[in-house]
Amino acid sequence: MRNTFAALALASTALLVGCGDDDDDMTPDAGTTYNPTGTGPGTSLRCTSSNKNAWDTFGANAFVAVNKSIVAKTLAEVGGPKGTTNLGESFTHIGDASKGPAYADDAATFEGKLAAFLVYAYGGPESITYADGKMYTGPQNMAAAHVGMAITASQYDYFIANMVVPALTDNGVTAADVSSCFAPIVTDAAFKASIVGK
Amino acid sequence: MNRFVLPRTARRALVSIAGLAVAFTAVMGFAHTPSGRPLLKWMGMSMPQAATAAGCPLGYDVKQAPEQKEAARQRFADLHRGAGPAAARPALGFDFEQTTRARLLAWADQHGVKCVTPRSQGDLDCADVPAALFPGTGREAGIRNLWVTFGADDKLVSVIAVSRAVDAAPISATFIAANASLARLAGPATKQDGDGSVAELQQGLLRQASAEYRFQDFYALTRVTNMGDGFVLTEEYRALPTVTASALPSR
Repeated sequence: MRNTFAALALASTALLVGCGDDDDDMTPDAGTTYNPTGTGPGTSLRCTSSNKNAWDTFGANAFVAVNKSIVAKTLAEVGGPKGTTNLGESFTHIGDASKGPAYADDAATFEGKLAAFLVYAYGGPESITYADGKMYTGPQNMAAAHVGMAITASQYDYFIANMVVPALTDNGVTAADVSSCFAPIVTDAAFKASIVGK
Repeated sequence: MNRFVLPRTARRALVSIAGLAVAFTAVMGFAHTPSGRPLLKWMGMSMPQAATAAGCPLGYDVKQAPEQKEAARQRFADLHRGAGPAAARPALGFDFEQTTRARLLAWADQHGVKCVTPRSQGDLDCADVPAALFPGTGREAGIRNLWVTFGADDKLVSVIAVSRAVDAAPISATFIAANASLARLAGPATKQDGDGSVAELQQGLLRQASAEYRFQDFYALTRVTNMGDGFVLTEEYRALPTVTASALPSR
């Protein structure tokens, strides 16, 4: 039920943003009538299965499911026998502002911000209303959000390979679509550099 | 407008409270500096977890207590246990519930491998372990991080190895060899996605192959990923705690 609500909220926001976004350059793909919803970095990516970007292919339900799956897998990892061995300590400090401003958000806000970032980055609207009824903004300064976390390249790789990709495939995203319309963002050297070693 | 004046006693109380707050903040701030660690340790005496680590009294950088580690291990086993026992429990040549921390450290020292004790939770983090230290396993990629965990009796309970290479070939070969070894020694995979061949991995970014092995007393997972700027293999080998017959999954 909570997921359904979240999906509806995301979808409503997407519709509203879509209706009110008259100023954006929404040129259809050549030879098609496809107008991408958003303007984020992944808007121009095309999934193998649909020839649309990830947001327009999978929609709100899938984004909520994947976001929740990433959070669940991460919490299970740091709360399980592996603890912080592979992912580092940064996830255990969420909500503890004494560790630095990047940790100030509580767990619910962290989840909402992650959802908003993913939606925006992969071609969705710039802001969403998430399951907690709050509005979150997608465009975020990744470097500022990770200052003081000292995330290593190994931890980043582990997070992407063992949390993010399985969250996508567990929710029905094919390997071809992971490669074509999700991977280019998180494997981008500049994006990775904005998170690692801050 | 009337001026509101606090009585002298209230003013004194307020000033005292503010002074105490400033002093408390200063002391706690100092206690979290390297020079202040002894003070932090002394303050943590009433919080055993923190005291043992001489870290933050709130416990964020504290190692899990043995009973907490055992409980987490049990929870993992409850979720990942298979029906039958493994024929053997391979762990990169180490022996589950036999290899001790001292023995592993001696092995590392003998081969020039540097291991450190992470600040929290994991027991040993050994870096840059050459493939040559695992003869006869078909391993072609060295291990970038070898994370090792010991049980309450200080004997080995899990090994996680993360290997990385720019080229797909050594990582793919190591993934295939690891799975062949697991299937031969422990038993067949419970679940397998992809074959992890070079051709498959090179089909696209984040292209992945994995295999999972679930037994009553052993769990293993291998996962190889094309990260764009290289290829990463994660191998996880885990001894599951023994279980009573009544708690086994029904067949």
